[in-house]
Amino acid sequence: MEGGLQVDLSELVSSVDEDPLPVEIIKSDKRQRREQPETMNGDEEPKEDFSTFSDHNLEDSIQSTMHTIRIVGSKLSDKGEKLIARIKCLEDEKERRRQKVDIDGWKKPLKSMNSNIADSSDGSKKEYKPSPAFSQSTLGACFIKKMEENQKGCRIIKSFDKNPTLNSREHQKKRGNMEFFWSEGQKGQSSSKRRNMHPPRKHSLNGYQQHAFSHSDQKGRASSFCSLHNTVDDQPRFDDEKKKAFQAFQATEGLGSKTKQTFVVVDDDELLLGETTQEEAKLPEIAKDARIYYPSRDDPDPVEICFGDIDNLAPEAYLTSTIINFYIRFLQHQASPTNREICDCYFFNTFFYKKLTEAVSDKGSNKFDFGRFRRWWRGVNIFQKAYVLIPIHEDLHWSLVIICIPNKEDESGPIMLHLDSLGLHSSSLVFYNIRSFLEEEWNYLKQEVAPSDLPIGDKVWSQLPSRINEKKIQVPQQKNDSDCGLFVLYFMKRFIEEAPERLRKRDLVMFGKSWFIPEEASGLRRKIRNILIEQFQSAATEYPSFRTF
Amino acid sequence: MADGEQNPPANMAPKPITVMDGSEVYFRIKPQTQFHKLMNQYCLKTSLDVNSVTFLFDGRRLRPEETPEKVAMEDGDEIDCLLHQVGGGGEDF
Repeated sequence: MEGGLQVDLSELVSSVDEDPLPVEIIKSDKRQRREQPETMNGDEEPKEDFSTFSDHNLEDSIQSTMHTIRIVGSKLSDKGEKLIARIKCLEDEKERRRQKVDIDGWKKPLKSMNSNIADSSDGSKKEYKPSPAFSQSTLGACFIKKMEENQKGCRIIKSFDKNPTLNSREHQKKRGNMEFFWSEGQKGQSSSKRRNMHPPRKHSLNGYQQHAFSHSDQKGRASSFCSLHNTVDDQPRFDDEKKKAFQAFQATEGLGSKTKQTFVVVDDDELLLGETTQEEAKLPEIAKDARIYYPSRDDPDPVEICFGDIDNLAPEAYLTSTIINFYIRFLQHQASPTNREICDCYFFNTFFYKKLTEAVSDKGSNKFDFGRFRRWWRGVNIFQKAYVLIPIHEDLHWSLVIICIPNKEDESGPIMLHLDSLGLHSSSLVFYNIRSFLEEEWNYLKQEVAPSDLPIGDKVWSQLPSRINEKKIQVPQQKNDSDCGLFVLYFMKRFIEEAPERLRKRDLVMFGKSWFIPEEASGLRRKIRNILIEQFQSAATEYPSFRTF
Repeated sequence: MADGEQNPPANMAPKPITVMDGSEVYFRIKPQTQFHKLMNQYCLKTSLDVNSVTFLFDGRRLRPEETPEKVAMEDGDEIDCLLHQVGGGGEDF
């Protein structure tokens, strides 16, 4: 017994402490390798080892590489050959794995991992050793099943996997409250692959916390694992399903006690990420009522945003007109003034449709004053635009109408498109209102504009009202009850990027249920949030009074 | 408009303000008076939170520090007061 006491404790402890270090190195190394193909054209591009990719990352890489080719492929010196080769490699790896799965049959989709919890507030570090038996425990397997049954619930946990870049070193150093470890084992991965993985990936929970629970950030950051769970239960927006999943999780793991924190992570193939994978910006300490004007204070009609408006971009929060109007301006501002597409588009703000419906219902009464209403688009002849985009807001839902105006040479009339990510708005009612607007404008212009200035061919123009086509467009559908505003913005973004100079009926094939994957639109939430935080940060350096401290 | 000063009528421009539900409230405001005065009054009258609404003049958002003169408002012009819109997935949820 006495001999046993001579164990060198410091050595033991330090060896535990050092454990995570190689993890970071490997991880960051991997990240670099992932980024290289997209950023460099040099010849010394190292061969990528896709075997270390998760299924999920693999799919993701294929998507993003394809996207890259689409956007810049033709501009590259090798016409994107290298990228195509990369996709081929990725596809091969995918196929290889698929076959492996066939052979291996059902795999445990996840493994346990140990979590390291360091409480940064007092600087002391508590270490939780992994329980080796756990990874094979039946409890774990039971939980896996539960999580699989409840895919939706998995999302909560998955959300930090969704963002592999979260674990920036800085983040960890600054606010290393919590760290998660897990091995890369995922659905259908072979054991050989797992061996390849060696040290598990490490993710900081900080970003996750901020992402998923940004409102809890306001209340005070959860600094221990258990308080995180409390936070979860406190979430008013948490839907029951998720809550159940978490409760099941807690029950299985016995998380009520602070002594053991072992984590199980389920990969959810639904979640993706492509370009949405970007680092969650840290919320700067700025007064809630601090305001910025976009694009600038001196702009004739800037969008005003409060710092508190960023809360509307918290997960599952509904989007407000402020955010939508901001992003519309952002889209316009981002495109260079020489960009034809954006010049040929006219964006109405979110209040226009509301005003329009009032105007339409007043039609016929003496209250109706179209001349006054026309001031909303003062100085713009909408029939000279290629596209007019109108966000529709009704019944707590957002959708989008795009009016496509034909060329002067075209024989066909204007086409109204309605894009609705839930199919909630009555397209016929929306079309009725927009049609009234077009007809009134046509009536007005008919008397005002000289025939030579007509933006549309004579034939079509002379009987415009009967030549307006309506088309309810099939578009990707949101999978939740909170993202319709993001879908509207993403419809706009994609449309102005992809639309031809003038849209004809045959171009309508560009839409469809598989126009993009719904997660791309949902990913816009974090993107816009980061853009806004950036705007506020730069404003804060300009106006130090922004700071709360 | 709650304004104690007696100014010649020539300096007073009546600004009717149209409410969302169609009811109308009329204001008299001097060309140099900042709109925040009008906004606060309006919200007081209608028990609206001034942060929950936006005031638009011909589709353009009015800023509290602007004046009728600055935005070239004329007699009889209308200001729209609209609630900030919120949407996610419709009423059913």
